[in-house]
Amino acid sequence: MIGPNGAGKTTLFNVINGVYPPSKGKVIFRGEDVTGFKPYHLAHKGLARTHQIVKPLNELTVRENVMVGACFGRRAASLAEARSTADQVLDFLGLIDRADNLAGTLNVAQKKRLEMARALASHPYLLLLDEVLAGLNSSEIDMMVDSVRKIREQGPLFS
Amino acid sequence: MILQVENVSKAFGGLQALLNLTFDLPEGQILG
Repeated sequence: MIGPNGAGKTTLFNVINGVYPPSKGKVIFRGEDVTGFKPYHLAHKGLARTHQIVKPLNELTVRENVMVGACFGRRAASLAEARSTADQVLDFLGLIDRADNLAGTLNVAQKKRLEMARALASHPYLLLLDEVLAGLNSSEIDMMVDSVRKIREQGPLFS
Repeated sequence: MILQVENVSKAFGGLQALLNLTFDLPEGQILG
């Protein structure tokens, strides 16, 4: 989606993701009318999103943040499963060396990757990325774009 | 289709944020 500030890009994501119900119209996800479903319900169904303004759980570690995505995602993972998924996702996104650090200690680029990691750990069928490249330098953008392409090309990446 | 958005509108009071938006997203596609 391309548009100037205030065009409604994030509002559209919020309507698809169930943050706001639409005033009219329908959102159909994998053949099911999910209009107005709550975000946690859609996460269980396999619809994940990232946020333009990243807000990790700063008092939890990076790994624990990603485990939240796994526990409340499509597979409703146990803690052990969530830990395994989190480590696979963090390795894929180049954050595994920060897994035991508090999320609040990450820089902006790392927080963007953490945001994507938390969404990926929910095993989504559809991943909505809101301004995922904003604030990144050229090498960080290349890394993120490469990650998105790998996700698309390889399909489900994590057990 | 993994996602279909059909004639979606969203207004906040008098502010029309989205108006009759329609698109389809096939599975396996990056849309941006």
